[in-house]
Amino acid sequence: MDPARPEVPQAIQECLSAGVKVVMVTGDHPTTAKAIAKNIGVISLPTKEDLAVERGVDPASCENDARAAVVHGANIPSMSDLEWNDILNKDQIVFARTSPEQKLIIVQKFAAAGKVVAMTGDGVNDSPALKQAAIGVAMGKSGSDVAREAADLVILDDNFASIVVAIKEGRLLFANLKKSIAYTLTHLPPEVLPILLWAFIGFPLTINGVLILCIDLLTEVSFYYSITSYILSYVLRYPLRMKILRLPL
Amino acid sequence: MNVPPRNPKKDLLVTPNLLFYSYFQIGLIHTGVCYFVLYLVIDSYNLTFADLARTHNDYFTISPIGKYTIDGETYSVSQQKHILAVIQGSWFLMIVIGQAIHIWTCRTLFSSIFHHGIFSNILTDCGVLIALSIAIIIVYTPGIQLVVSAWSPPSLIILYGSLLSIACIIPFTEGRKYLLRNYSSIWECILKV
Repeated sequence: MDPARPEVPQAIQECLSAGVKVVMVTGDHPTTAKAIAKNIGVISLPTKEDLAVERGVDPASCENDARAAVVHGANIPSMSDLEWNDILNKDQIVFARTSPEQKLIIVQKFAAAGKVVAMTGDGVNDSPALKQAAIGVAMGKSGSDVAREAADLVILDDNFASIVVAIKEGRLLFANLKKSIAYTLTHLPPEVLPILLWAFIGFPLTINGVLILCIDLLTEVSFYYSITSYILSYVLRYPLRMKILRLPL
Repeated sequence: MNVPPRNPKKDLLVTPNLLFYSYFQIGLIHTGVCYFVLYLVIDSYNLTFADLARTHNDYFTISPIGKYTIDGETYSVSQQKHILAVIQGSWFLMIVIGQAIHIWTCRTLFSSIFHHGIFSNILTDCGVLIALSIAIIIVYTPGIQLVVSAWSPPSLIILYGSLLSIACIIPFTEGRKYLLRNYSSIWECILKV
């Protein structure tokens, strides 16, 4: 068994703390898959087999108590919707001995349950599932050309931890867009209200069109380019290209 | 990274709360401060809001039809133009100053800006300086004043307006962030943008 990269457990913990459910889908044997999953933190809770051994009972009787599950790929085609529902509600899931068709089914089932699915893969056999997922993530170094073509996102350093960085960047971008919009709209009321008062009660125009253009085209522009910490971090990454006002791509 | 992913159906980029924040919270504070400064400006010319109402077609325009007399005071055509230019210059300056103050506070929507660091983003500081410089050049440079029809208002009035803007925007935004941090279950539905 190849050891996982040292940064993977930390990355998985960060995903979990960010509310991202990490599901392992592998072609390995269930025992190997479970060992790896425990090693990297995908599984930390007992499975029904663990509970059965602990209690000395049949594993089937512990099905409802177990919050983690290791599912053999061979069982996937015959699973009913009820069984899928039970599996998808588990906190920690590992799918072992899966074929490309089964990976596709897994992605489809998660999507049908209303989840936004990001699927990572590198082989040709992962391509259908990568294409089906909301976000297909392919490995740039070890990944096949077909997988890279099918993916929405290519991880250039083949490192799972990079996905966490991508999530952070995405969240930062969304938050900064929100802040930018919240900031931008605030100067509209003091621009519009004088015109309304001019029209309805005949009050002199307290701001004219040229000054409104000066605000929108001159002063606000320098604010826009400086508002977010994203721009700061961008500049820090490329200090030689540092510009206060940088035109968009 | 300690919050769950957004719900794509609910957590949209532009929400009613965001519009409420921009238009009816900070936007109205900006407008209120502008009217406060307007009051100080017209009061310095012995005018009131009532005196200026219903004058827009004939007086206090860029080309008044003649002298304007009210309460025994007469304002010549050039005086009316000058008062209008001062009003517009002060209104313009207060919008820019209000935005300069707001940009520091809106860099966080949840955590306190004092915890985040008010001057921590050097680009924001530079952006504010550039914007204020542009505004000052527009209002205080003689040739440009004619082009934009704005005249430099008394500095003390702008100072009062700026202090009022600081006194309103920072406590308000910090207060709403405090409520979101500590009483999110009650206030989230109204205050979370």
